[in-house]
Amino acid sequence: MEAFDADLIRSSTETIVLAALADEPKYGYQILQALRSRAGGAVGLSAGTLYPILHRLEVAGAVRASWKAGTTRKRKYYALTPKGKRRLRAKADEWQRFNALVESLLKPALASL
Amino acid sequence: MSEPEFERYLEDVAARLRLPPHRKDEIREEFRAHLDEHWAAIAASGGERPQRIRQVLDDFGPSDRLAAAVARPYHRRAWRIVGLVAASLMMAFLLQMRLRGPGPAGSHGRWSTERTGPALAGGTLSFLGEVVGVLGGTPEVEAPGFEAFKFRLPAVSFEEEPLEDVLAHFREISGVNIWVNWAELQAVGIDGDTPVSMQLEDVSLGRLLDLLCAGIGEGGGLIAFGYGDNVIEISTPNTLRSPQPELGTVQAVYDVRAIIEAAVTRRMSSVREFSSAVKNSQFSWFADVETGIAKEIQGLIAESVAPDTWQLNGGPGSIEYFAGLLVVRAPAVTQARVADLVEQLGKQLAPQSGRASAGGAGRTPPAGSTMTDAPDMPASDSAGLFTAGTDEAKPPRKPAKAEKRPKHKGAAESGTRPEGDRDEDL
Repeated sequence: MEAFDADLIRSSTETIVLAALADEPKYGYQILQALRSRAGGAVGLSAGTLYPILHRLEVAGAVRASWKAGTTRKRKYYALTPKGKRRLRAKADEWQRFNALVESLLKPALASL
Repeated sequence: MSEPEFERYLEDVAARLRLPPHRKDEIREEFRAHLDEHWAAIAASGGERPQRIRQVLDDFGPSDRLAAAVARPYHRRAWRIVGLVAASLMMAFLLQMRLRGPGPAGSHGRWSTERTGPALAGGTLSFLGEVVGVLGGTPEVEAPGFEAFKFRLPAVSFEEEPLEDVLAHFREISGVNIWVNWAELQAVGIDGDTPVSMQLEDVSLGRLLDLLCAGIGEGGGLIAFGYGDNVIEISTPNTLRSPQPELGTVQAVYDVRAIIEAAVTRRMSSVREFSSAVKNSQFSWFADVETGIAKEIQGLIAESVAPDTWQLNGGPGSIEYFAGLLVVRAPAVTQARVADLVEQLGKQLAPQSGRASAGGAGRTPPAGSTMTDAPDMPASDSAGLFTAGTDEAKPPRKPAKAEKRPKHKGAAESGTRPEGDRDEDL
């Protein structure tokens, strides 16, 4: 999948991270792996971008973190809180409305080309 | 132990994190786990070690940028907490100012909790709830019978006792002047030998007289009592020379600022609610809390003190709240109970407050305490002091062994009120 414009990704990184945690709690490396497996290299989210977002969401109460011991090392898992779920729904709704708006603008624009 | 390059990188990140040590350790642990896992994942991919190390570290980016980005939300939270504390202190201060209001004239702008207003004429009211002034009335008007009616008797026990003995007992124990118009009473078939049965505990003199008048004769209503010039008069309703205490309302202003302040402070201890209010700039929250508490006090009075008296329940009495003051219009006997309730609230909520406990120790009339006559209470309001509380806990007709008391033949005797607990709770 072709990579998206960095600005487009930047404005949606929080929503993308929240979405990655929707099905189950994950740790940082696992989140990046999940995103790469779903979107290939299209969402070029790095560890340096991911962790500040995770900590911001944790401070905001949108995710709750807990340490769990793995086979070789301890990992910090992040899970959506009810507040995080509400935030994800709101973001998704906003995104869909924005997407519909852009589409409604693009269709006639493209038709006139 | 991770790769040495990773450890150096983590040291560098930690050194740049301006966070508490435990937070630094946690972040370092989290990043180390990520680096190690990433390193393990690309181990099989081949390539030179330095390139693989570079690949893993590049995913995190420069240490200074990462440290700043990770620490930022914690710094913001810290500032938010500082802001909350500052805002809470400011709001508490403003609330305090709002409740206290400006000091008396001549106080040179100082905020003061001093009471204002003239002293009560005669100095007989011991309004422990602090009646602080008069709104729109002529000051220095004594509430008729207030002090006499609020006198509390710990227990009375009569069984078929002669009315004359009963009244003599009231007179003797309370020290209140009681005058009986026997001639008028005899005209309706009541005399000194008319039997009286009552058994009550912790009852006010006003309530006792009310029950007595209601219980004598067929269906009651044959006799009534009034108060004037320091004498309780008992006669028939039509021949009563003194005004009946239930007929006139008096207006009193109770200072409940200390109670509200104490209650607001309690509410503010609910940190979550308070923080949420400040965070969301809901500064009206404080005003809402104050108003809410004032309404609760009004409701408490309306429910527990002579419920039939209040407009809320269809009566003529009123309780209004304004800037930390309760303006109450009710019969004198009811005012006595309101004062008692306000005092109790003050003792419970703000025991250390001078305002809440004013007059409590010495039971002295507060300077500035006063009431005004407002004679618009209908005669039907016999609730007043006499319809709520423990007074009604036991009906008067319950037979019990009578206490023997000396007979008093004098009709207009004056007594000296006993020292001590004369202003007992109503």
